[in-house]
Amino acid sequence: MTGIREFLGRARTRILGRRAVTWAARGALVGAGAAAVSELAFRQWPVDPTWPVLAACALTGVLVAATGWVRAWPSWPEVARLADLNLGGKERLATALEYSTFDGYLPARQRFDTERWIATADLKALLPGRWPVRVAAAAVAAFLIAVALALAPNPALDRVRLEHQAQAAQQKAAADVAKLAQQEATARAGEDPAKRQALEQALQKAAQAVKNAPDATSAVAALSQAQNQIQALSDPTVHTRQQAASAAGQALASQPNLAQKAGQALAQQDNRGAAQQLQQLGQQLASMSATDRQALANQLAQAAQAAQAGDPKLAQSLQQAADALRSGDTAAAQAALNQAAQQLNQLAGQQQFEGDAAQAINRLQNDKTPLEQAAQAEQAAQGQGQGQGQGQGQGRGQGQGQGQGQGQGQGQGQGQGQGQGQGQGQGQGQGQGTGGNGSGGGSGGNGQKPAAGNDKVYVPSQSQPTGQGTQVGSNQGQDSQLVPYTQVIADYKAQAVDQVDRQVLPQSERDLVQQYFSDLGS
Amino acid sequence: MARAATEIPGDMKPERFQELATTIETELGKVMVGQAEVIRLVLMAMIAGGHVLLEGVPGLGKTVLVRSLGGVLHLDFARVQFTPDLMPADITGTHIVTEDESGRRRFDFQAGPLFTNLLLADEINRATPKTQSALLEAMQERQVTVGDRTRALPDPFFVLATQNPIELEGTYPLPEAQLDRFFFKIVVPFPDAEDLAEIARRTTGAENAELRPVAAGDELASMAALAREVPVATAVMERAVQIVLGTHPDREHAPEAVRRYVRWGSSPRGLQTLILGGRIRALLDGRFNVAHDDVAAVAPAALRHRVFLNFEADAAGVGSDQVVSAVLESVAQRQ
Repeated sequence: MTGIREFLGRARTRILGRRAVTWAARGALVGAGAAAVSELAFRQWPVDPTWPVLAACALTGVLVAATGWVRAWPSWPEVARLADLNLGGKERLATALEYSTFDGYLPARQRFDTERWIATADLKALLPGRWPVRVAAAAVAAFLIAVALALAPNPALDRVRLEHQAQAAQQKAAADVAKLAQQEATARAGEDPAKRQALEQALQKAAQAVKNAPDATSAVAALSQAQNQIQALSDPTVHTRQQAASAAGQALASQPNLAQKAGQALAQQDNRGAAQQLQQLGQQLASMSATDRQALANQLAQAAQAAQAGDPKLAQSLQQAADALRSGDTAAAQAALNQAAQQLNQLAGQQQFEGDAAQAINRLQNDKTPLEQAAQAEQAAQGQGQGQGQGQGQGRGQGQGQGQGQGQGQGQGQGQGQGQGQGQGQGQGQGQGTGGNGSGGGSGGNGQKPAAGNDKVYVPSQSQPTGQGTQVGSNQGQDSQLVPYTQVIADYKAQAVDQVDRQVLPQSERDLVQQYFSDLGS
Repeated sequence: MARAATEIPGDMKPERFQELATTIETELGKVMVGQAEVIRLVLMAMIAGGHVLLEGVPGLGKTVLVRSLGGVLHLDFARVQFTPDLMPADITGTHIVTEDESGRRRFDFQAGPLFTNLLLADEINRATPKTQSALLEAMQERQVTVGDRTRALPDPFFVLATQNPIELEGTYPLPEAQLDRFFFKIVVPFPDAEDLAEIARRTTGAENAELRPVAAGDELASMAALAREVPVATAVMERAVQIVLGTHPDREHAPEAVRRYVRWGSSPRGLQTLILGGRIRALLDGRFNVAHDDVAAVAPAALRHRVFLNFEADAAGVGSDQVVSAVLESVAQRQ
């Protein structure tokens, strides 16, 4: 009976293999058919994303195949019956299996006869010609139909996907704006707390409005409104005052005396450092000689004159200090310098706020871009031209003087609109010549071989411009620690991007900066 | 479990079974040309202990077959020509007045031709139902009752009845219940040209074939005992059951031919015949188990006289063999 059992075991393996193929084909047909039907249904009732449904179809096919295969697991009598049927066993196996426990003469002879027959039986003939060709062909056809339907344009599904994209962009924008509101909530010294609070509230309100907006267009409108509100918080005189302070600083830095440090700080727009230097200068007034006081008074007067046009208050404080020094009243001069320092601290705070406001506007603009694209795509998909749009405009002027006393003014404006919207931009430019800021740098000859080929290029780690205008290219190289060129470029890029981000600039200009550093890095 | 593995039923080995059957068939083949299937079916019925109804036109060797069987099997043989005036006592026997040596007269039983091993009931459908019934009782009970005494018939007792399918004028068709008692109904086919020529050569020449007895009645009994031990798988048994049930027009899976043409299907005796016939055929084929093919092979002979057709079948010219074929095909397809 062992031989019979072993033969039946091999037969069952073959049957199971064939049934696995059969049920795999059936499962594939079910899965592919369900996918094809689903794809058809998606055209009427779009679902996004579609992959869970398609995955469910595939899973259904797998389940059908697995369940069918398990349920089709043949019992030993069935194996014997199938083997008899397909191998011409004339019921030898079925009888031998059924009479395996019988001890009679004929049952024993029957088992012997069966084992002898097994020796001549060819298991390869088991289940001949029963490959599920038709089912497999139907499954392939259904699969191809499903793929064709999936690849063919589905306007209904496209609309749903655009809606979801718009919703995702909306949620992301709301989260970004809320995060920005948290970041901008911290007030800095010297700035107006009311403005800071207004900035935070505007951002929070924008975040809430974007979150609850019924569509992307409404969200864009909310962001634009917030930009306008933040823009309204800006003080347009800050730049003028900064230019005035810089001009005063250059006047103070023109002579190598105690006011030179304060002047240099002012010229470099380090208003807080300048304020600190002025306070220190005020404390040193009493110990100064009359000659030095006179010289300092003259410098202060020149600085006051330089600042007169842009910042009359600062000019007035500086002039009071100069007058007090001339009259020998060091206490009054110190008080005037302290007042000037206070004004510089306020200017620093206002500059900080202006930067934060500009950064907020830029961030809002960044959030608006995908929302605008989503809104446009939605409108295009719906095939509805909006007859009216929203017009939003922002403008801001910046002027910056640099270098050889040539001022460059930039007027920039951004206007964006949809449909019939109009953008407006205003620009202002001011230029003022100041002493050029030189950049000093260079590495000393330390015997390092020049870079060539694929060698890394190293530059001194002190890459910040530290030289004076009068010391351009004259400072000696230092044997400082070298850092990889790419790292320096990355640092520069980060600083530049941060600075650009704190200015209201067109996106194309900002991209230009990014591109510049990217090219350097590559 | 029922028997030790070394114990042989009736001391008859399968090889001896086959040898005997082959020898008998060979011997009968000497006088019966082109009727191998008929010979095999008759032999199977005799091994099973059943009676056979032979149907065929006159001159096909039915009587020769039966007579030859008696010679080959070394059995007593009797032949009765059934006629309308044949009375039951003519076949069962009767009491006659005899006188002994002392002059005393008494009734002695004079046994009829039934008291033999092998009885040829020629043209059984020409006898009246009364006489047919007397024969059929003897076939079933293997005994006859005359007067107030019942007498057992010799063992073995086989009846091979013949009937002519064409001369139906003045005949008494056998009732269904009596047909059911025949193990097989064998249709004797008309020989083909080659066989006819061979028949002419054998019967018109100077030489006559001589038959030799090759088996005895007790060996037939041993063969029957061995055949009844042949294992039958449940699947085979179930298919035989389905075949029998398939001949009943009121059954769910009955084929259209049965629903349309059959008046009444096979009795349980049909199932018994299928299984027993299948067992014998398996042994004759050198196997030790019954196959579906065995059952299908004996089905026409076992069922054709147990399937009773209606008038619509007569009108359509549909015979019971066609119905049985439809049943076999239907059952095979279903399983």
